[in-house]
Amino acid sequence: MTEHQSDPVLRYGPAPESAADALAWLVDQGDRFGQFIGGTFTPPGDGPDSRNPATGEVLATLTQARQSDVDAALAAAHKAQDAWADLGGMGRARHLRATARTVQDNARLLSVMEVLDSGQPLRRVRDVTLPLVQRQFEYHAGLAHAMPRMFPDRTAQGICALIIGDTAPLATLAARLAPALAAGNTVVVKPCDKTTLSALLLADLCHAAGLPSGVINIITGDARVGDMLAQHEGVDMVAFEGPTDAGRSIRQLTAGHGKTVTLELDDTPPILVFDDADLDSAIEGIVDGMTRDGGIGRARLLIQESAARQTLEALRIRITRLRVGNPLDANTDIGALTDPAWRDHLAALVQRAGGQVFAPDMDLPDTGAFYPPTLISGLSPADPAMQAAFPGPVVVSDTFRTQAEAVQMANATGCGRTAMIWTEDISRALTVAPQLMASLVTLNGTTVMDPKLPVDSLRDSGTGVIGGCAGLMAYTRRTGPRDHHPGRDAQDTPARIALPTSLDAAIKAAHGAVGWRRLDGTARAQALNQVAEALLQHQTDLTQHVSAQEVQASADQIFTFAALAETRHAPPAPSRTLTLHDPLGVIGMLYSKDAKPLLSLMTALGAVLASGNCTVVALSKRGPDLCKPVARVLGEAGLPAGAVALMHADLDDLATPIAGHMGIDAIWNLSSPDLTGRIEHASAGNFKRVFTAYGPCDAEHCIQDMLTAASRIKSVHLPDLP
Amino acid sequence: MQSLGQDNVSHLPQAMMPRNDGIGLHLGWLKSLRVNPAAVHERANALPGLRRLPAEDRAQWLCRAIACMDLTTLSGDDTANRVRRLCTKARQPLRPDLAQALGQEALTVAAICVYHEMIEPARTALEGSGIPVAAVSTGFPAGLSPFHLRVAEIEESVSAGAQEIDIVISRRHVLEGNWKALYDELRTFRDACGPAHMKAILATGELGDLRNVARASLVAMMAGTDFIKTSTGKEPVNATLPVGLVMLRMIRAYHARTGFQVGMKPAGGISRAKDALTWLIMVHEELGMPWLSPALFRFGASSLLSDIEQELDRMVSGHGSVGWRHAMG
Repeated sequence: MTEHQSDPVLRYGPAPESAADALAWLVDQGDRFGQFIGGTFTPPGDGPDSRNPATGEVLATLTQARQSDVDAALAAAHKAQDAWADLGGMGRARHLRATARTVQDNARLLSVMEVLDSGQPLRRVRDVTLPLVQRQFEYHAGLAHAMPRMFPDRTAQGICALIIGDTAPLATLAARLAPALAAGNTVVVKPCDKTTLSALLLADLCHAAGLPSGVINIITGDARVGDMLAQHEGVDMVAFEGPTDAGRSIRQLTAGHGKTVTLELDDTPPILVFDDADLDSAIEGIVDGMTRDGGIGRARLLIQESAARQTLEALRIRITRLRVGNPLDANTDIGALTDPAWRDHLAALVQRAGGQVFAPDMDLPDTGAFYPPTLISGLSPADPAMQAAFPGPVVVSDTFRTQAEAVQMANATGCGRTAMIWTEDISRALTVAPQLMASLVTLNGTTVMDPKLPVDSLRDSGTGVIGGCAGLMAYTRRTGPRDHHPGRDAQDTPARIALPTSLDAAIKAAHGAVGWRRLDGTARAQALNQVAEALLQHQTDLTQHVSAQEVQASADQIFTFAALAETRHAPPAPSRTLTLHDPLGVIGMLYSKDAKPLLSLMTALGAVLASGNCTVVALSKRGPDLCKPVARVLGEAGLPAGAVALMHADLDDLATPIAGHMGIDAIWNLSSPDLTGRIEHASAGNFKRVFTAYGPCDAEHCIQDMLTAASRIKSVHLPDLP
Repeated sequence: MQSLGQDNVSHLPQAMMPRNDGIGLHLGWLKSLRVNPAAVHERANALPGLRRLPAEDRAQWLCRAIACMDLTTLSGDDTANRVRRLCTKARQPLRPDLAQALGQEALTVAAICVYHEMIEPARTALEGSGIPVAAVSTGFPAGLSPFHLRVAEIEESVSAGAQEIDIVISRRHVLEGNWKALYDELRTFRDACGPAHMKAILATGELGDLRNVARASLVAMMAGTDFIKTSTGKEPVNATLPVGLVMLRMIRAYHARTGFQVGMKPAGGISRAKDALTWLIMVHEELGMPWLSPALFRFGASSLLSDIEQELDRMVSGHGSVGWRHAMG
């Protein structure tokens, strides 16, 4: 190599963005912030410092909110809510579009503030986050506009508590703020105390741009403030983003309140690299994931053995070229860790991980929380590191031999939200994507957040859809009076009841009924049609318990579901996103209806089966014993064993074991409201979906709700060619 | 400002860097190539905003762009005088005061690129400068003249004094998947070049898709080309970033497997200073600093120099510049 070729003269040089405007805004606010309530800042008090993680410098001092502050924020939100909802979709859309413009006009200021506060690299915040935030408000302005026509029977929840973690805080906030406001809610936001400033700035800018006072309120402080907010009686809906443990505690705190709770928790997305992939692009995609969200890697890289050596070698070279350093420098790829405490935590996790650890030898700044991009290879599924959520630019990897093994390894985790597949074989891609335990699967690309793309959370990654029309639903409720609810349930320690052995057996049978879950919509429809016909044949059995008309109505209901089973699996509108409705798995049902017991039962079964689930139904001993006749009907109809298990039982005894059993994926309480609190407590730790319907189930709106509750949305996303 | 160390510059690859001898035709390797267009475009679209160069660095990068330039004229109305004018510009690409202010007094372009008939005037005009003459050949631009004439054209050009030969491949071999024919054609051209360095023009705008670009790049390298070049400048689509990205990745893969460093030459459509910088940054990000030298990277350009000069003038003087303030080529 000639001397010329290693000439060091060409360099990128530091190209830092000026922080002057952002710092000036902080100075204007006195470098101290109170709570943002009803459009103004309250006088500042004592509380945590907000630091720049890249330098350790104090940016501002925040105020630790007290109960009275939380009360005041909710009072302000409450006062503003009627007027905000009464603006109508069109009026709110106007405000949301104005907010989008405000974000656009202040993109530079917001970017720099987010960088100072969170340590994410400027280039990503400027080029990805800010356009995304702007799009959130624009997209949801459209939804607000369309809401009266698209969802005529839905209205705002009321007051939403948005509790935001420290991962990409501004984008996370916008993804919740926009739908909450679009639906007509007012909000109280509790940002993470490490990353509060961009939220305060956004609220201040929105308010200055004419958003009515009290629509956005922000309370600040540590996690205790979030807890106070989540369990406050004045809150109708809680949207939480943060670590899984914290999410579990939020669900425990809100159990029995009757609040809608969405939780977006830890995810360790698998990246499947097959040997027929465009490996160069795959590597670029992996690196892209490593450098986003403030350097939160967390990905599990699974590579086909035949391509492993080549891929890992190329990846090592590639991450050596990454530039770690001052987040305000436009040439930085990886900025600072949001929380300086993470650096030592991360170092300890990596040291314990085992495997081959590769981290390029690079000069990191002396001050601040920086960590080099790190690749840990040669791990096995049993290594704890394969499950760990590394809070930094760390990728763990393992190899697989076959496609089936790849799916198995990808799904061998407690998490499930996103996944990526790299292969140029379209049949392989379309076979593997639906098999992954993830709600957003990206083919040959890195996961992108898009306002219109619904993303659900599975397993310990949380509950609730974010994005799209489905995401908006969580911020609305059905028009009319709220469901009767017993209020806060004081029962923190559920009664210990011996699990009846038959429940276990029932759940095992349900898990064994994989045949049912694999049936496509058409096959399900055929089976359901047979159930309806069997119902009519066994009228005499059933009329011992219910009227002949009810049997007829029940059969009609099942015929309807048969039709639905087919139509719900119709191909989606032309799009580069393939939307699938996946069954939840096994639904545990607590059933007790005084009026029309057969009709409501068949309706619920229809919804569950049409969506491809299996179910374990506990029928209350207080009602008629429909178990035997219904079981005979289903058996005669040829429904596979285990698709439906019926038990005649005391619901009080069964509620807690069903809610706590890990083999049950969702719980439907179709009996009395008294049980709901207990179910929510028992299922707080496992993030099960809880659905309730206390009245008769055959009303149209109830059918729609059940169909929604019986499936989850899965999107298979193909990045567009420009 | 530091100088580029022009004293050490020589435009041709040096002895310490072994010339690509080529390897056999590895069909298995070709078959295994995969290119995902959406992912390649995503990366290519991110490139222009990927790095921000502060003014002082920017000036150095722009000077490097000049050092890597094949100053080109390929028109039917080329005359000996027109070529002489271009050669004078090649020796002194920057206005003297500008070159001095930048510490770039010794800066020249990498080569002059002309048709066969213009080799002689170019060689004379460049005498003593060390700047080589490159000739387009093999029935440029379509490459559809009789095969023996295409080979003879190379030999004529080499004996006329061309030190670099820009050949065009038969696109039909790529489109028909006839890799053996493509390999044999390129191998024959390479042998005909002898000591002259060969740049293989793939005419990527006519190859259909990026996977074909990747395969054609690899076959050319297997056949022993010294450079792979995007286009003739006469196709409807010339040097685009996605195409360049795929070619650079193939160069990287070939280097990883064989140890040979093959050069890259985008040509056609690069006429702005900022586009040139994006290309240099892409090369740096994908292949690293060793490739940012005239031995391994060239721009095929005719109007790019003028835009770079104006940009440098603006940086040095602090005022906007216009074309007439700089000597024409």
